[in-house]
Amino acid sequence: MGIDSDKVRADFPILGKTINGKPIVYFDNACQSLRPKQVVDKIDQYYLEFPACGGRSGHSLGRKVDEEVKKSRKTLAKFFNAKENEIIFTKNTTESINLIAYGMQWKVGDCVLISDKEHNSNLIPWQQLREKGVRLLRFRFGDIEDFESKLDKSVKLVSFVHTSNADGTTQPAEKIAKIAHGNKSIVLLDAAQSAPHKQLDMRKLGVDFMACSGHKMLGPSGTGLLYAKEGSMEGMRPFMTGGETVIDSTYDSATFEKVPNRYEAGLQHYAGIIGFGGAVEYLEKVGMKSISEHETKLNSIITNEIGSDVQLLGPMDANERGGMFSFNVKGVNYHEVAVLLDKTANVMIRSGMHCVHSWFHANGLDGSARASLYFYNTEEECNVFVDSIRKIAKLK
Amino acid sequence: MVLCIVALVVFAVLSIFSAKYRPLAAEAFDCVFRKMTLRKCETGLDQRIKGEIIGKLMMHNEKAAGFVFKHFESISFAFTVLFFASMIYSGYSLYNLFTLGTCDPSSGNCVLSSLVNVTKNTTLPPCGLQGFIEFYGAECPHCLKMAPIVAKLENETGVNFTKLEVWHNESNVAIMQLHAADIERDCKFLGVPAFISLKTNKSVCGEMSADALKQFILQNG
Repeated sequence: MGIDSDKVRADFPILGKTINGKPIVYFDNACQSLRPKQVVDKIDQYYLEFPACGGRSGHSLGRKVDEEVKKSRKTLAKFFNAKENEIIFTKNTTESINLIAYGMQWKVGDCVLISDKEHNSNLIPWQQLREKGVRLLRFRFGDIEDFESKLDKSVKLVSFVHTSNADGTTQPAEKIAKIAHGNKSIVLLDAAQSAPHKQLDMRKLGVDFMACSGHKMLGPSGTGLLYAKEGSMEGMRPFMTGGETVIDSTYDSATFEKVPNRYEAGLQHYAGIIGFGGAVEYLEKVGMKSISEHETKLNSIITNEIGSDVQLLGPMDANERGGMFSFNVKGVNYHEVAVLLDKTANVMIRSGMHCVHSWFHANGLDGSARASLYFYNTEEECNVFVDSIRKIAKLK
Repeated sequence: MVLCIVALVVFAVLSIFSAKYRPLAAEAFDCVFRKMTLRKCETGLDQRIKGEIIGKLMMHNEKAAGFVFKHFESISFAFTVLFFASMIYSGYSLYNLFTLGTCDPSSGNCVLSSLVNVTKNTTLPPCGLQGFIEFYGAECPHCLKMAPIVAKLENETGVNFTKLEVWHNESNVAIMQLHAADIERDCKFLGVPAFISLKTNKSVCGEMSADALKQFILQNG
């Protein structure tokens, strides 16, 4: 079933605004998505009706917070086909990955295997482990043969991106996880760019950990989660400790809580967590399959119409790039392209190396401009984008 | 690089008055420093500035935007040269204003002169008129004899002589020095009274008849 763009866009107040008389064309969803008023209402509701502490205070407002947080955790667990105690709230994908990097017990000679097209958040934490004698290996993105050839008994953890934020291509996560488990390696999936656009089933994927961000899937800024398969956190040291991570303590010792509370230190971003639950409820109503199909359709329009002055990063087939269109215009710097699109047509995209510096450097590229679509974008917006790019291409 | 240099100067000046320009000034400095040490500018500031300028032009005239885009380096280089040339000339004018009392000693025309505290013996010609200067000495007998003749001719012709005393006023001496070559060429010596036309740089010196001075005014006014 297709998406009713008018109905959906009516839920996003920012899409009704204009700048210099022109509407906003928001094509930077890979960075953060926009928020529907239903999510904003959830945040407002927390602050207006029960702005209290959760997990501590026994009064009615505190209990209301607990109830809403639990409801949100349940909604997210259902969305990812996981159990409630497998959902740990974090502030973003980066924190989720760091939680694993700093929590795991490493020994000298252990190895982490990542792909060669990782976001810095799934590269830098592993680089820091070199101090502990942990090696970092890479396999070619999407190349299963190369992945298998790099996998050996020293690989303790395979951590890989599902959908690349550089060009929108996706790796076969289920296959990689299966092969990794055959090697007795733990699997961490960076789903920052896939969770907002595809239905992810943790049971089906079979990964041990999954990290994603709420703010890329309609949720409030500064929200995210770590999916941790039941039992996978055994022996994992909490990244942060303190209030709410312990049941009891003395001057000399502490009795830690169970998962997930053990890994949710301090007062949480309750408004964010509740909003995140609301975001996922909204996505379920729209339908993840419809979202995926809609984005691919729009991306096909752009890919087919954009013209020969544009060099695309990634495969020509829009089905392989989802809603992402990463490109360079011949003769025009990518930063200039982004500024020109913003100034002339209110088209908002990102430019640069998109925090995947390592891959750009390795491939001799300075960077790119990147348009990333979502289900509230329209064909009309794609036409505005294409027309603007054509005008920019004529400048040279 | 050129753009970053201009951006550095502009944002540095603006940041004196507003804190919001300080991060931009810092970014421009980083860019210039990196380029001067033969490294790439990493901030993208120059591309952002170029994009802003071209973007604004595109809204009005796409052809003009295309022209400016293609020749951006040359145009920004030319503007940079003009920018620094005008800064140097402005600095020179300000120097003249504060040391000589006029930003343009050759013509004496300067709208800022009234802002500077000049000595009571110095009378500058009104703006917009081509003037004459009389250099005199306070105790000079020949100058005293010429005073009523000059006053009479000012009434008759409507011309105003700027009267600069040079026996006791160092600023006026400096102004006379600027015209020394012209005075010595026409009078064979540098003395008082000396009358010079700012329009033609011609001069006459010493006591003379009203007719002779009037001829000089009419020929050089």
